[in-house]
Amino acid sequence: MLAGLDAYTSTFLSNLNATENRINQANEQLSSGYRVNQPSDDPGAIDAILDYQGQIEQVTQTQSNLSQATTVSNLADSALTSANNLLNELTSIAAQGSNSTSSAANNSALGQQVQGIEQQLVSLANTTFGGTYVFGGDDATTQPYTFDWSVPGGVVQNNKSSNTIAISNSDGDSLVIPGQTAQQIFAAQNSDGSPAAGNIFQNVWALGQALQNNNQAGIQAANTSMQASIAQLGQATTISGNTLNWLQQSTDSATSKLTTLQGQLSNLRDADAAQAATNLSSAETAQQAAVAARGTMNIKSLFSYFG
Amino acid sequence: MASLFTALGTAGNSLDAIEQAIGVVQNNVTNATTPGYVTQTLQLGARPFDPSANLWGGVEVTGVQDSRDVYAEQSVWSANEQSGYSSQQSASLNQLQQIFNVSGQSGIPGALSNLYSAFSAWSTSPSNATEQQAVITAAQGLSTAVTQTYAQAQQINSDTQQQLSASVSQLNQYTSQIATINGEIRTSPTGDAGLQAQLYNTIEQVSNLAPVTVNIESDGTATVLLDGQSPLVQGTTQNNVSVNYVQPGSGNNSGPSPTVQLLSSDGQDITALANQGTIGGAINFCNSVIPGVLGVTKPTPTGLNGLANGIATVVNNLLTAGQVSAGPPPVAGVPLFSAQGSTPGSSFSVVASMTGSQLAAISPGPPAVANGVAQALAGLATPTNAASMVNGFSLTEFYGNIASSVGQQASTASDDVSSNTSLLNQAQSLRAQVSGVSLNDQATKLLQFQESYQASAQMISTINTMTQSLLTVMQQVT
Repeated sequence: MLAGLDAYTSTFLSNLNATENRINQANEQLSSGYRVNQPSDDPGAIDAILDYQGQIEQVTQTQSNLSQATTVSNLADSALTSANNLLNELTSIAAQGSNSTSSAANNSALGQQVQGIEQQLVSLANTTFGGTYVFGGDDATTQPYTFDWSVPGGVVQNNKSSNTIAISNSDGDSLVIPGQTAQQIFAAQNSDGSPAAGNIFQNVWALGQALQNNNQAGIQAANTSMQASIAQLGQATTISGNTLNWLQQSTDSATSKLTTLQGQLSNLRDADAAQAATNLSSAETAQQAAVAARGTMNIKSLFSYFG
Repeated sequence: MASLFTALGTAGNSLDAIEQAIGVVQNNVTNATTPGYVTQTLQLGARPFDPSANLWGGVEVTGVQDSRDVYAEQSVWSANEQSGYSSQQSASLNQLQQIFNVSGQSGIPGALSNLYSAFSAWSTSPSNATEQQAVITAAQGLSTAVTQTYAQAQQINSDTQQQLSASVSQLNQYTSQIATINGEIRTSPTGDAGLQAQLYNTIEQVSNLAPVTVNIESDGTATVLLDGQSPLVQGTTQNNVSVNYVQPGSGNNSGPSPTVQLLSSDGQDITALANQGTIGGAINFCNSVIPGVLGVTKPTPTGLNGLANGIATVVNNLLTAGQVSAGPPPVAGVPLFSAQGSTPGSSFSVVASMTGSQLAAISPGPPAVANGVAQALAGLATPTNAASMVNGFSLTEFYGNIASSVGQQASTASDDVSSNTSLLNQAQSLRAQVSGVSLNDQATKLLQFQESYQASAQMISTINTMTQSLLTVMQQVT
């Protein structure tokens, strides 16, 4: 054991080691951009970091869900707009057919037109997106209606499921998308299952039949009930508009929530680059100074001065 | 005339004594950096001086004094024990904490987030085969992440066990050396500085491995006890210690990993005595840290086993309460995860026969909701009821608690390493000041002895001249 001259070698080495650790830490912070790279960097912050990161993933997924729902709802909304145009067309056909000057042959031709429109309405009720039926409700893989002019109402219903599939936004609300099923929009029923006054398929079919049979009383009645159908479709359009509004608000809210969460996570996890760079530079200077000083240290004892 | 010859003899003797003193200085200087060596000082004494009684004084060597300070040695050993403990703990914990991802983007937390996202995407379109398959893939990703983390923790445990075995065999080697040195001390002259240096250096090595209590016996041999109780070396007898691993489920080990036992040569369990040094650090890591990380499923779920069991329970309960199809007849849901046995962390998997179309999305209600279960599964990310939590925590929080506990221990161990290293440095420096060789002291002594030697030689020369003068006078007289 050597005393006096060099007793502090081990202290020097451990201090040098500590300085090197500071350099490594500052380097790691700068290269990863994170203040917390491993659990021991800040054990108390881990729960919060994982929580924020989890919430960010969740909101990101919600954004993706909302975006898909918006696509579907836009498709549904444009189907309703098309249906509305067709109903307006039907109103004018009904007006022509109820004109006393219209001949039976003319009415029959109008009836054919109505049949074509009914077929188009059925197509709209069967609108698809990515292999599923937009108005199919819970059973989205079964086509809601098949066109069949020979049966009352002109359609066969294949899918009676309701729609319970709601999507959630990042504020904890949820909404069924799209708002209504094909039956609710195009074939409204009374509680006993009979066609409701606004039943579009039924009313269009009745109009078509009356025109084809040149049944003036029937044409008059169908003309009146077309108004109920237009009102029915108006309600559906309103619901669709509300749905699109909700989706827009939810998307905005998710975006702002994501920004907030990313800020909070960054505060907690990210390195202060300027501070880390300063730390790195000061630790490097300290290390160089210590090594240089040690290197030039002229350790001598009395023996060095012996002749 | 008689007194002149006596003076000549005395001066001659003093040259002998000074030569010995210079020999001691030489030995001190050459051993200045030898581990365990302490400054030796030759004790010089004045002989009785009373010319009236014809006692002509002179100098004599009365012995060699050792500057060793047992308290300084003990404080070094004690600091060394603590330094060994924290270094081992810090090394193992540092490895262990690397397997816990804290970015939330990969590892277990990343896989959990992926699964929640897959549940959420599936909930918007429960009958979509692509989304169903994405859930199965994410579930497999999670099971892989959990079992990989579990296997890595086990690997680190087995690495530490190997280090422990190496430390124990090193301990046995050192104690065997001490027994040999003890034998040599008995047969050599008292106070052999070289043997003493070897002995104390070896004891210092031992103190880094385990807590030792050392008693120096009257014959100069060292008795070394493990923590003051179990004898490692007595005289020339060495007692080997050995390591025994108690497998889970056998003996009194109800934990998830093998527990370590330290046994004395007569088979006594002395584990509790090894509470310091690298051996103590490794035992604590294997017997306390690792079982905490691997964890148990009951009574209170902890660690990775508790997490695996918790994920399986929470997810499977929701799925089996749901329906794959509303029917008629309704088809009930089936479990997604399999977490069997007492260590589900190692066997955690997706049920082999599970396919995407068997995922139960429908909550039967009433009222029935076609994506009710899928939504509830997506909601596990931020659970609101106890059934969706493990021991009151969300799955991510439960994982976060394990990671944070390991991080806390690693951080504490790393701080301990710094403080214990500086304590050890202080103790070593203090010891060096008390009993280390100071080259300046030795140089000063060398100068002093050189002067004394020259003076004594001059005395001999002068007395010689005087004797010559006396003899010349005598010749002239006769």
